[in-house]
Amino acid sequence: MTTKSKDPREQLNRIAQLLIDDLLNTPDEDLLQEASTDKSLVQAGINAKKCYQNAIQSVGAKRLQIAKAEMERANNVKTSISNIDAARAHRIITKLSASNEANVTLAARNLKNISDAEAIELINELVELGAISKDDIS
Amino acid sequence: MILIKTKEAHDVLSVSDFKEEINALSDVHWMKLGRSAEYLSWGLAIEGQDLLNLAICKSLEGKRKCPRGVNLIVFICRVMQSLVSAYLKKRMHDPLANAIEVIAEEESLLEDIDLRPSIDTPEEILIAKQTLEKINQVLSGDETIEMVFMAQLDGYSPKDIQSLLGLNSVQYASTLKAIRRKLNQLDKKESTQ
Repeated sequence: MTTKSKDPREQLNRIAQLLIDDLLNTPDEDLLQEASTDKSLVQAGINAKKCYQNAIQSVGAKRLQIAKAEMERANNVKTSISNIDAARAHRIITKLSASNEANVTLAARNLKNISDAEAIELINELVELGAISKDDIS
Repeated sequence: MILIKTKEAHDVLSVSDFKEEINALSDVHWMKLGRSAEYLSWGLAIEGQDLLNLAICKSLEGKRKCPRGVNLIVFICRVMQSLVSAYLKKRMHDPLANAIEVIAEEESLLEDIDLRPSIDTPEEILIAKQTLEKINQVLSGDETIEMVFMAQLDGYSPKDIQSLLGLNSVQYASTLKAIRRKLNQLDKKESTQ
């Protein structure tokens, strides 16, 4: 047997564990009986339900915020590179085809005869995938 | 042949399963959760409702996963307990050390960042001491209750307490119940103000 910390917060925490053990072992019917004479218990239940409702809302809001940030980021990437002209796109592809960079060798192989739209689209995709940076095309 | 069991996805509740189970909780289950959150925040500079809210948020985000077969209320209580442990771990640090950014290695240490204390550490310790004194007063007068209480404060396990005091499991359980009923009279608000 070992004696643990004397910090009053930890000691209170140990008492809390003791009380929770008993609470969780108390049959539901007995607790309902207790609640009939202890309104604070009923209030604790109401508060707990509210916590759940709030949690649902805050997790939903957080997810929405993350999704919005993701969309914004994706849109920013697209809008920032969509104004590249076809001639520039072809030049970059030619340059990439000639380079030995492992990241882009496969993507840039046999692309000499692609259309202007395909060239622009390909550059956009390579930037989005992170295979080339925006600096590489500016 | 030796089979090594790993924690597969099917061993834990998915977020939608968790939602389904939590939606099925009855009023009495919510009472248990609400009261447990209150107990865990006793004497601390955090609110029980914030603690419960955070525990549920972590579960809804999939950051805390309930193993299948584990009672959902027990699981949520364990999550709250782990959040409080992490919170206390950080608050145990020297107050001066708290003034600098701590880079925690364990994820559990990072959790406490979500639990914002409303007061400084010295004041929190003072309030915790006062709450303990109040509990001591409420429990005084019954020797068995006092002994169980003191042994619990000293960190003895239920098994050790029973062995130390010569209580069987039924006697121990009824002592716990008596302690809880007595402490229900303790007004948390009053004790933390």
